[in-house]
Order: sequence, then structure tokens, then C-alpha cells
Amino acid sequence: MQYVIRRLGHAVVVIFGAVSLMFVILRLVPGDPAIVYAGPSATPEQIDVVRGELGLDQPLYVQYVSFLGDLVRGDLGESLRLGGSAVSAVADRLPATGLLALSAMGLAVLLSFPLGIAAARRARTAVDYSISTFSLLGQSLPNFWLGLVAILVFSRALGLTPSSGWGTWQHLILPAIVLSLPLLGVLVRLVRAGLIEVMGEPYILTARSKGLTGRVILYRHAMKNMLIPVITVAGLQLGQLLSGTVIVEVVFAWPGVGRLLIDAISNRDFAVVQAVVMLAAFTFVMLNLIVDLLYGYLDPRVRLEAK
Amino acid sequence: MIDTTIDTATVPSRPRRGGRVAHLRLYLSAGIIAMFVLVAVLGPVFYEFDPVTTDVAARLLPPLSSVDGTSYPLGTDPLGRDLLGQIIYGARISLGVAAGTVLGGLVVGAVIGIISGYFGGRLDSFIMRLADIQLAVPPILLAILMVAVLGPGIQTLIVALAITRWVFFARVSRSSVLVARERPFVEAARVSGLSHRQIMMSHIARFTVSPLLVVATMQIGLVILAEAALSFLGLGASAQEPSWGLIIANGRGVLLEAWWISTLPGVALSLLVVSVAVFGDELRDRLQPDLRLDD
Repeated sequence: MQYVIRRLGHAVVVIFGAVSLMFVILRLVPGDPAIVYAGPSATPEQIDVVRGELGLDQPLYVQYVSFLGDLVRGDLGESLRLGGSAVSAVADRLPATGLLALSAMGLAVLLSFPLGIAAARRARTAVDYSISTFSLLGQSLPNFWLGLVAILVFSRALGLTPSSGWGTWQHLILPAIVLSLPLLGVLVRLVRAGLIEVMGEPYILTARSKGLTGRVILYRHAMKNMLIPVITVAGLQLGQLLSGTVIVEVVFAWPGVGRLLIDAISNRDFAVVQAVVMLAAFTFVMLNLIVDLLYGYLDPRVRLEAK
Repeated sequence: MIDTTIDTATVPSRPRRGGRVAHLRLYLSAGIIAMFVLVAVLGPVFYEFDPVTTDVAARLLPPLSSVDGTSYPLGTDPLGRDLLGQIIYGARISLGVAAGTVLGGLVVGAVIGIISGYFGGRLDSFIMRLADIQLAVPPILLAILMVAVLGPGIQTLIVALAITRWVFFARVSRSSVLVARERPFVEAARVSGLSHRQIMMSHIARFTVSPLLVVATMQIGLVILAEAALSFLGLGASAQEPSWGLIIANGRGVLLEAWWISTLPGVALSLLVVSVAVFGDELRDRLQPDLRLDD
């Protein structure tokens, strides 16, 4: 319980800090923020109204306090381009991004085990080298380029999938695969290395000397201990996955939060930009917190160490 | 029954390759990187290309075309600009941004990390908490936010990316310092009356060199990718600067009629990034086999 409270406290501090960091960056706007927020076509009167609304005529610390106050009330301002609040603009796009991110994550976790196990069992053979090469490529190839090549090959040349947009489950296939590759690459390496390490542990020898079959040892004894690092790393890599959605959504015209962010930047719709980045930071910190707690629950040693 | 025997006596948990394969990987990747550097530095001298002039008559020519005595080995883009020339200039931008960013992030991060690790205590916890906070915003998003606020362009991009990088250098140099600080000769140096500054400069700093080198190599790959991605999104290089990411974005509108514009710069980008990743991997195996880079 003490562990939970400590982690929770840490998460609160980090979110508070991240929010403050964002306040600083948004105030770095060269020139008058009111002009930027009001948009390029605003009249001087409109700019004055915006300045009053944003409290930009107040001293900086007053702005900061009211910024925090708005945040606690969930008020992140109005979208200039879309009308309505920035928060609801983001909320509308959230399901599409959630679907994409969770599909990619699920795909990566599900595929990483068979591939990692195959590589570990045939370590230093052609199978191992091809799987390792695949995981290296998955981790380092640029996803926006991979997405375009996938469109050319699978949609254009083979006609297997729709090239972009959304609506049916077929639309999800290409973006989810492209988004999952970097995470898959990381996890395959992890499962491979972890399995080889675990198989050297004394308790595996014990199990083997008890006469248990390879299958039982692998799935009952070794896998249980593999789950912990895989869950941890999958959780920690979620930030990467979130950044990846921005690019994948643009490439495949997927109507999620990432595309909203890029559209908002080109329209200089700062309230929406701010809302998206806040949401990303919040999600990321929460996920880290969940991973930490889960880790402490699965592996009691962590809780003791943290004291 | 399936065979699950894994011979743990001979297989190390890290995929360390046999001597010959490792050598090949190291030299091959180093060779490819050197080639890119050479093209970036000397390419524009030998291959005449003007990134600004457009030629509508020569638009969307496929690779291996030749018009009026001018040959276009890799074809042209929608504005009739030579693709090979753009890719050669793109290498300059890609490597230039990577070098500037990583150098900036490394210097700032290493100084902060060494000071933080050496003095420890409150200063150390404060700095490390700051690093946690910054990492709460995924680096690419932080860079996007800064570019969105400051406006696009190569210089902004370098600054924004460098700010997202210092954390990684600070963390790795700090952890090396924590180990080095406990060595007897540091105690001896302190007793013999050297100032903190002297101890850090002449006794501590060199312990951070090899881990920093490994991290820097890995970061170069990530920064090249980040630059290309941001330019692809229209948040990096301006229209007169043919960054690979920007060329790929330019080809998107005509992807189905002119496949070469988006795909070929990506081949250059992928080759470079993969080579840097392999080189970094081999470097780590040689210099810092225990270095953890996940956190």
C-alpha cells in the first residue's frame, strides 16, 4: 500500500511538472501570443478580446495560476477552427486512435512470443538470424515510408486492402501492422534474450530433472517469468507507439487524434494542440504508473526494493 | 513432444555473434555510413543540382530518363526537379541536423549528468526529477510542440530535437559517474586537495566517454528518423531544403502515378538508419556490453 501511494505521488509530481513545462513552451511563442491564438485573419479588436480571455494582460504568475485552475476544471479553451471546446474535439477523435493503438499493441505482443521463442530455440541458426534481422528492420525503418510502400504494394499492386481512410476492419490492417512493427521488434529481442536467460535458471533444471516435458517447462515455468519484462517494456514503449500514431494516421488518412494534432498545427489552432499534448502526457504517465503497480504486484521483490 | 532444449552454456543471452559475423557487421555498417558522409560532403561538388529551380517540362519523369541531353538517373518530382540531386542534398540536411542535434544534446546532457552524479544529494534528485518530467511528454511530441510554437525551419528543428535529447545523455553519464565516484583514486584526489572541478574534469569525465559514444551513435539514428518524420509532416525543413522526409511527402500526392518520388529517398534513409543501428549495436557489444538503453 505504501508502495502504491509513493508511485501515485510520483505520478502527480510528474504530471504537474509536465503541465508547467508546456505552459513555458506555449509562452515561448515569438511575438504576441494573442495574435497567434486569435489566428492569422483576426482583426485588432478580436486580438484584444482574445488577450482579455487568455488573461495575457495579467502578470505571468497570475496567468500560470489561472492556467492550472482551468486545467483542473478540464477547460483547455475553445478550438478556433472547429468551434466548441478543444477537449471535446480531442474526445471525438479518441476512439479511432485508441482502436489503432490497441490493435497495434495487441498484434506486437501476440506475435512477439512465437517469434522470440523460435529464435531462442534455434539460437545462432538461420532462423534466429532472420528473426533478429526482421526485428532490427522493424525497429529502425521509418514508419511513414513503410506505410507508403505498404500502400503501393498491398493496395495498389495486389489490391488486398484499402489504401487509406476508415470504416471497415480492412482499413485497420495496414496502419495497425505498420504501427506495431517497432514495438514488435523490441519485444521479439526481449523474449529471445529473456528465454535464453530463464532456461539457465536452477528451477528449470529442477523441473527437467522431475521429468517434466519440454512443453510444460516452456509454458508453465519459463513463460510466467517472461511475462513481467514483456509487460513492462510494452508499457514503457507506449510513448513511442503514441508518437507513431501521429505519423501513421497522417499516412493512412486515419481520423484520429494524431491527424487532429497535425491539422491543428497547420491551422495554428493552439487550444487543440495544447489539449492533444496534455492528453498524451497524461496518458503516458498513467500508463507508466499502471505498469509500475502491475510490476510491483507481479514481482514482490520490486516492492521491497523500492523501500 | 517438442524439443525445448536450449543450450545455455554456449548461447549468451545477448545475441553476440561469432567473431567473423560481428566484424562484417561492424565494417559493412561503418563503410555505408562513411559513404553517406562522403556523399553529403562532396556530392554537391561533383553532381550539379539546384534545389530551387523548377522545370515544368521535365515533371514526373521516371528513373533513367533523359530530356534534351540532361539525364535524370532517378527521375524527377512534380516540379521537374532532379530526384538524385535532391537525395544528395538531403544527405547533407539529414547528417547535418543529426550532427548538430546530437552534439548539442551530448554536451549539455553530459555536463548536467556529470555534475548531477558527482555531487548527488538534492541537486541530483532535482535534476533527475526534471528528466522524468520531460520524458512524460514523448520526445517526438515535445519536438512537434516546440516546432509548432517557434515555426518550422532547420535551426528550430535542431534546437527542438537537442532539447529532447539531453535527458538520455545526462542519464547515462550520471550512472557512469556514480560508479567512478566510489573509486579509491577519486578519494585520493580529494584528499590531495584538488577542487571538485579538477576532479570532475581529469578523473571522472573520462569514465563517461565510452558509454556516451555508444548512446550518441544510437541517438544519431533516432535523430535522423525524427528529422525525416517531422519534415514529412511539414514541421521541419522548408520547401527550399530537400530533406528526405520532405521529398517523401512531396511524392505522396502522386504516389500511384510516380512511385519513385516517395520510395527512393526512403531507401537512402532506411539504409543509413539501419547502418547506424547496426554500427551502434556492434559498438555497444565491444565497449559497453552491460549498458541498458531501455530507460
